[in-house]
Parts: sequence; structure tokens; C-alpha cells
Amino acid sequence: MKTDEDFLKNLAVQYVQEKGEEYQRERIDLENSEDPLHGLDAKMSAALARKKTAPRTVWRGRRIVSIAASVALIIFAATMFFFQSDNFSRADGYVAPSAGAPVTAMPPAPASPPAPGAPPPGAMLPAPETEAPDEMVAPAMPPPVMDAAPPPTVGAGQEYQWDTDRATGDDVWAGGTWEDTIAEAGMWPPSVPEGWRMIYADHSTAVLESGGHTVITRTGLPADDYLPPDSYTRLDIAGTTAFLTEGPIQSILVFERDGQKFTLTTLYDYRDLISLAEYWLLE
Amino acid sequence: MFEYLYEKYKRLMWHKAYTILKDRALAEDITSEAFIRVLRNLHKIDDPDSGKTAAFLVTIVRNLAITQYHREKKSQPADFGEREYDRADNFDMEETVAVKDEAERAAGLLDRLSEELKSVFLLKYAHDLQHKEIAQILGITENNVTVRLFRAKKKLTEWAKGVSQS
Repeated sequence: MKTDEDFLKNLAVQYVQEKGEEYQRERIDLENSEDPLHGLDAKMSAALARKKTAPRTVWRGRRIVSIAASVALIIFAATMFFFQSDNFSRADGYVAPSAGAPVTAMPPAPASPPAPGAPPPGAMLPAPETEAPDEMVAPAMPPPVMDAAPPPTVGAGQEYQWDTDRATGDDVWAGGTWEDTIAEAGMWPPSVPEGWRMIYADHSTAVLESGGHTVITRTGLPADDYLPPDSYTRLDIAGTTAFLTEGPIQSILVFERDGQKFTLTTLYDYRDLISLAEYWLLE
Repeated sequence: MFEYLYEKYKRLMWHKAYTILKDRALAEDITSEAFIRVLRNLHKIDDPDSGKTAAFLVTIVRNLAITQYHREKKSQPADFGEREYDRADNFDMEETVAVKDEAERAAGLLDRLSEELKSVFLLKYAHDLQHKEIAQILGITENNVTVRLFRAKKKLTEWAKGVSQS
């Protein structure tokens, strides 16, 4: 492996050295061109200007959002405090009592007849000193807005589009599933390093054994990416050795019995998988 | 430093982009975008006059131009006039074996790689960039960098073994 790395490094350095000199010669030739490239200069200036202002704009935007959120929070807290406060007064003049306190607040008797249109005195009030006041209920808050679409899930047999840039949605490569990708790359079946024996392999996982050491690797990735032997859980159940790894999407369990290889996968916690394996193996 | 780089290499980079895109305005866009990415990685450039720097800049602009070409055409790339695309099927082994010079041999092997694989490989091994930095420069995911790098290494190793056996 070290030799390969040295070879590849040497290859890259030599290539860049040769091409670099070629590009420099080409650059000198192009300097005689009369094309002023004014369009490029203008675009470059604009791009640099955007680059200078973008972080500040983003920062400003974030600050505005932060301030707005703080103000909204304060208003919400104040509103809740107001409605739940002992000092909350209803429009009809009723004052809620403090807990355990006697009802003492009563609307004052009008000194003169009420104005036309005014509510009659005493209306909407509890019977004085004989009934407990209505329990105060804060105005109903609107229900929280929920996302209409449920979060994406991956079901059995489905694969994430590993090679699609999900941030931008751009299909930055040929696309397709991981399975398609490794098939297209001619990496199926996965190659086995010299001295290793393949216990199990599918489109995403390979289990290799050598000299009593077992590693689990993602199919198609180089040997550098082999998980170290202590990064998986080794199970000895009913005379069967199983190897368990917890992947980013699903847990994978690979085990061998009577010369046959089996795998179990789950979208859930790997401990569920152990229980399932125990059940299956002890059956 | 950046202004010096821009003035020195803008024609070369624009020319490389134009060779692929055949569109003056698009080539300008891609060249300016490439320079912005160079600006973010200015610390990677030791000597602005070196061939290595020229190769670094051209790698970036060519990759961006080819990505743009794919977006524009939504099809397989045309012949860009250079020996840059994967030609494993019609590769002339004798031609490569006959090459004596090591540098030319390296070029013979690397030019068989597609631009997508070659650029990742060169940024990793010739320019010593981390996967994360490569992903940022090329606008791809780190996972994609890993896979492309693996593909490139695998092909180069196989081809090199094939050459030596011949």
C-alpha cells in the first residue's frame, strides 16, 4: 500500500511538473493576444465585490432575524404574563382575585345613568360574595404550525443517492444509487486484498477475515477505510460468530453458520438487531 | 498576490474554459468563479510563477468548465481537443509502453483519466489538499471526493501494472 501511495504521489508530481511547464509556455503565447478581456475584468470585479459584501450582508440578515426573534419572544412572554397575572383586568371591570384571596373588587356603582350603548352595570359579573368568580382562561393560542411533509425515510431495499449533492440538488456525478455506482465503476464484486478472505459482501458492506482478524468495510472503498477490528461488536451466539456494525443509515449484522452467510439489517438501533439475531439463532 | 495571479493567468484560464465551453461569456463566468475559489485557497500557492501553480489554476478552471458544460448540454462531453477524457476502451498500450520518459509516462497514464477523476487525484497528490478542501474547490461532496479518488487510484494502479507487465 505504501509503495502504491509513493508511486501515485510520484506520478502526480511528475504530471504537474510537465503540464505546468506546458501551461506556462501556453500562457506566454497567449500574452500576445490582442483580446483585452474586458468582460472578464468586469465580471471579476463584480465577483470580488459580491464576495466582500456577502458575509456582511449575511451577518446583517442574521442580526436582524436575531433581534426580531428576541423582540417576538419578549412580546410573547409579556403577553403570557399579562394574561396570567393577578392584575389582569377584564374589559368589563372585573379584577381577578389573587389565589385564596376574597373577592373584593367590584365595579363601582355608577353615579349617573349609563350612557346609551354602555353595558348595564353589573352585567357579566359573578354574584357578589356568594359565587366564586369564573376561572380565568387565557385566550387560545394558535396551534403550532407543523411541516406538512413528513421527514424523508429510507425503507428496506432503498438507497440514498450518495453521489447527489443534497444541499444544492445538483447531480454532481453520474448519479444513481450507490449500487449503480459501484457496478458502473466495475467494483463489483469487490476486490479482496491479498491474504484476506471474504466472509460476506453485498452492495454496501464487505466482511473480510485474515489471520483471526476481521474487518467490515463499505464495498468499493479502499482498504484505508476498513474499520479497525475493535470498532464493531463481535457476538458469539449459539456457536455462531456474528459481526455487527452500525452504519449511518442502518445497522448491519453479518453472521455465518453451517457454511452459510446471513445478513440482517435494520433501520433502528443496533441493539434491536442483537435481539433479533439472538431470537433467530436460538430458535 | 491575488492581483498578480489574476493578471498573469487570466488569459490562460479563460482560454482553457473557452476551449471547453465555446462560449465567450460563459468562459468569463467560469474563469471569474475559478479565481474566487483560488482566492479562498491562496495559502496553498507558494510560488505564483511556478508551473505547479499554473497546473493548479488550470485544474480548477477546467473542472468548473466541464461541470458547466454538463449542465448546459446535459449530455456526454464532446471532444475538448485535448487528451483529457477517459479512453480506457481505445487506449493504445504500445504507445504507452514505448514512452521512455517518466514524466511522459505519467502524463500518458493520467491523461487517460476523465477530468473529474484526474482533478481530484491531482489536487490530492500533487497539491496536497485535504478532502474537505478539494470538495470546496470543486463544488462536490467529500464523499464524492473519496469515491473519485478511489476510482482514480484503482485505474492508475491497474494501468501502471498493465504497462509494466507488457
